[in-house]
Amino acid sequence: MDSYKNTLESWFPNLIVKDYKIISFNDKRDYNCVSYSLDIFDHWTWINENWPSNIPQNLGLMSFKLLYLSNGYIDCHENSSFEENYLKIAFYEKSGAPIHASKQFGNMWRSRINYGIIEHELEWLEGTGEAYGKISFIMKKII
Amino acid sequence: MNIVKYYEFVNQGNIDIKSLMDITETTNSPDLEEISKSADYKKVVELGEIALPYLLETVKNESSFWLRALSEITGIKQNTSTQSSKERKDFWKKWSKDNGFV
Repeated sequence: MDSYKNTLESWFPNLIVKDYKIISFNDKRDYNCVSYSLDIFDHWTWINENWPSNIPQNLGLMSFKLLYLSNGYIDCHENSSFEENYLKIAFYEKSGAPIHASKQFGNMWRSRINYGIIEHELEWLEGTGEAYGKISFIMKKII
Repeated sequence: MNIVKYYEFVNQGNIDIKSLMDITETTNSPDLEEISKSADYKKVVELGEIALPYLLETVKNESSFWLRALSEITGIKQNTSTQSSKERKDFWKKWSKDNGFV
């Protein structure tokens, strides 16, 4: 666990001295952040991995928007606040390329990163280097 | 790489396969294709057949992380666009049994 924490903080310096939580930690690499944001726990989801055949793979960030649209999400115009009866996802981009997805959990956000799941504020994962760039879009769907 | 060369490799101060795999798996990338292009991933692939039991063990544990490495080492092509990771994992589980890796 300490090693995971140290690794996380080396990738995301904004986490240091922040009140983020490690929610779970396991030793399997059986799903990634996009799968987690869609409540999929048995495979990775990316444009070249388990990608739905009816969604174009070559549109960069738009491909991911279409993925969430096809799962019932709509654009919520960067509104990251908690809204009763809605699920929200936030998608990160780095230099214009898709890089990470988080899902809202109450007033916080949760992300699958490497072996674990952490709870954090959106901006804590932003940054340069190994960090996840910046928020690209936020979408929501009614529960 | 055969078993003799592998032990020479380790005895020369190189790390063992499991440690190399652990290092490779320590990534925050969500993209398996990008990960498979990393230098550490390629080092595992370069170990060849000697790495197979370790990679097949991860499939037994339902991980998709090393599926591309298995294809590269064995030369067995799998289509990540048309085959789900479950189908690919099921293939490797059967292949593992058929080829005496269980």
